[in-house]
Amino acid sequence: MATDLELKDGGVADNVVIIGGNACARQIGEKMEARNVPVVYIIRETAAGIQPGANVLEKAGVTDCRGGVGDFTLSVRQNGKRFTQRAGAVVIAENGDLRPDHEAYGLDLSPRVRPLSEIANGDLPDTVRPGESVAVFLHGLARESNPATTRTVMNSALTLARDKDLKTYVLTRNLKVAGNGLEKLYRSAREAGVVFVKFTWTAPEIRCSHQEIQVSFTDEATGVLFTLTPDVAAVDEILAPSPAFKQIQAAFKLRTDSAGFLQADNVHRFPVETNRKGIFAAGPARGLLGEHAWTADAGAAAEALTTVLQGKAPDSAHKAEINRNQCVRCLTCYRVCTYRAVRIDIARPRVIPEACAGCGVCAAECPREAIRFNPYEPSAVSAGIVDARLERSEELFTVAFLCGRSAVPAREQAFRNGWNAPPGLFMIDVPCAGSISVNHLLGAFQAGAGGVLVIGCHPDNCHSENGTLHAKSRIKELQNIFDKIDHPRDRVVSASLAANMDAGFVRIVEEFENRIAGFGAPDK
Amino acid sequence: MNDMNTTIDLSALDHDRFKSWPNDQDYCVTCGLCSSDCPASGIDDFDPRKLVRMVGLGMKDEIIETRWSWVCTLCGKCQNVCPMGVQIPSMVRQIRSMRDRDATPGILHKGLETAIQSGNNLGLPREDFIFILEDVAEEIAEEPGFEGFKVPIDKQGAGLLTTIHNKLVNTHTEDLKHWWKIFHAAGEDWTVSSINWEGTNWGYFTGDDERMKIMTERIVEQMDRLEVKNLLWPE
Repeated sequence: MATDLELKDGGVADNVVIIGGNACARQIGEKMEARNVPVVYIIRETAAGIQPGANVLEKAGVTDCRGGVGDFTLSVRQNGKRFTQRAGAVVIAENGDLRPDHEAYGLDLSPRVRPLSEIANGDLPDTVRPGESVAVFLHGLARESNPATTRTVMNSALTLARDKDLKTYVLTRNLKVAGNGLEKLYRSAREAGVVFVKFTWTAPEIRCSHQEIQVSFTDEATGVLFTLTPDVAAVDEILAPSPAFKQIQAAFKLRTDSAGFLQADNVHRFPVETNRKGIFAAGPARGLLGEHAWTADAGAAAEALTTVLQGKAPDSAHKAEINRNQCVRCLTCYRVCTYRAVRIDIARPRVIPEACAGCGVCAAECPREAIRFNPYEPSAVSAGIVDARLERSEELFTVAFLCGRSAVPAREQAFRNGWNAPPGLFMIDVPCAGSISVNHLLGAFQAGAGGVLVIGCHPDNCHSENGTLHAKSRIKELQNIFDKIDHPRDRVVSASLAANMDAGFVRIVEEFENRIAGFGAPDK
Repeated sequence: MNDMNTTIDLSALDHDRFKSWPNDQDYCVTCGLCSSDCPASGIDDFDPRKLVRMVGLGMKDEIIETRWSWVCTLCGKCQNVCPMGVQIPSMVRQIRSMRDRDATPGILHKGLETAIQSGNNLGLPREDFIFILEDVAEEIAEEPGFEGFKVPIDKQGAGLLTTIHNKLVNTHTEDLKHWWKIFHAAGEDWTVSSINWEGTNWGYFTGDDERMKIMTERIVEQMDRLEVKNLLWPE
């Protein structure tokens, strides 16, 4: 049923641009069109498979993406022509490349050693004889297996055993059957005579010459030493980023994962978010294989697109703002912003409020102190610390800056568990540890703090990607200054936590308090 | 197994050999839950997963040869926890059935032969059996509260027939008393047959279905003969 979305007011672009034309991209497009959202496909190839009448830019690519959610301007290149395309939101579902993983197994491809998809397509060596020959699938032994590959392996093993009457073996680590129909497929393969050999703490030894492949292993269940001399071995294929990914990454300024897929290894991005609000990565673009995974991602992407187009995406309470009179255009803010929320307007940086996630990293990093980030301005925070000091009669006064995504929830849980904060400790909740500048730290010491603690997220789990790293490097900077003036460097300390680590929070605070007590109150 | 260090060409085995067995052993995912739940795991290196795996691969000689199927007590804990529904005790019985009968462990083989001939595993004559039961009954009658206690042998039309484990008329006669006292206190109308009273079925334990049926049928015959509707088979 088609329903018109109630779109956010204010002249925002109300359309969706989809990069890619595969099944995942098409499902997203169909879902958005069913909600009466205009869709534009930008496809490197031709529009094969996309329903007639769809708005498709074929043989086209995006070279730049400016603006923020609701108001992106894409630079498009098509047939040597350049033009711009507006977009309310963008989803990238570009195809990756399937590559045989033989090198990870220490094997060369040969007539006997074949990529999985060739075997799955029925392309067998001439030497294979029905009723006699032996086929081996090498699956998930060199790296974590992918359930979509597991499906292909089991399907083709089933075909070889049942239709070609081959003795068929699947050598694997965990056989992941927690997907639609996979366990049934496993049972069918077993019924057809496929033998699965699982390896948990050992691996098969594979020797390969021109004449033959020799596989030997100890079956972990029975302890029996087995050998196999397969006539054909199928090796896993893995999804790799296609060459186009690099270009897309550069055009959209996306953070990638270690393999180069267009979603960073960051739990906060699941399922389809990227470091940029309103730009999503789905299916193969974020490294997923298989029809079921693509369908699930298409649904998630359609929901995410709808949410941002309606202006209902969660927004940060506080936004950074650049004071143009103070700014010297060093572009530090532009470089450090994970969310790409700083744009350069006629050689002047400006924060795009819709894109700003309110982490405060730019304000803390700005060498000119030209970025306001209310209410976390160093002067305001320091004034609060002075007041807190005056309220406390304890000899020893300490200050802790706590990241709102990790340390604050951990502390709240500690409170629920009956923890009592040390009376001399003043805690300040901040959006990200990366928002704490050297000025914040010095302000605390000026107010009479004997020690300052900064707790952020674990480095790989930081929503703003580098917030914890920024905090750590600033603390190190201050510690180096302390060394020079013969002041104990450990009066300022950084730590990291996950949001559920309430016991860890209590331990970190206790260790900090004990250490500072050892140093004693600072000289007045 | 005897020689674990021999290398076997896996593809030379007939993996379909035991496919017709109705135990679903081919669905084993080698998770090992059976092994961790089995009270006999570790005895002689046994664990149920090994047997299931060997059957799934078709290792016929090895599963007949190994003592493992005889280490198993058929308690069924493995089957309770198996996520793939493999019926392991039934599979173990099937393995046992493949051994030549005179190669089944000594006491089981001899006991079963004797039971088929005489009606019980001990070859105990009827008169001796009756004598032992009445002797035990007399001892009970001497205890306060059990004055005049008699054992109702071959009582026509009783409410309950109970079988006897041969060890209770051999080395553990004291254990008969517990049962009987409970029947007495409960006012149960019970009886015991003077022939084919053996409750232990070594046909079941050795995977000998034919003789298992003979032993079972004999008990049913006694129920018919004595016109008893309920059976207590404490085995």
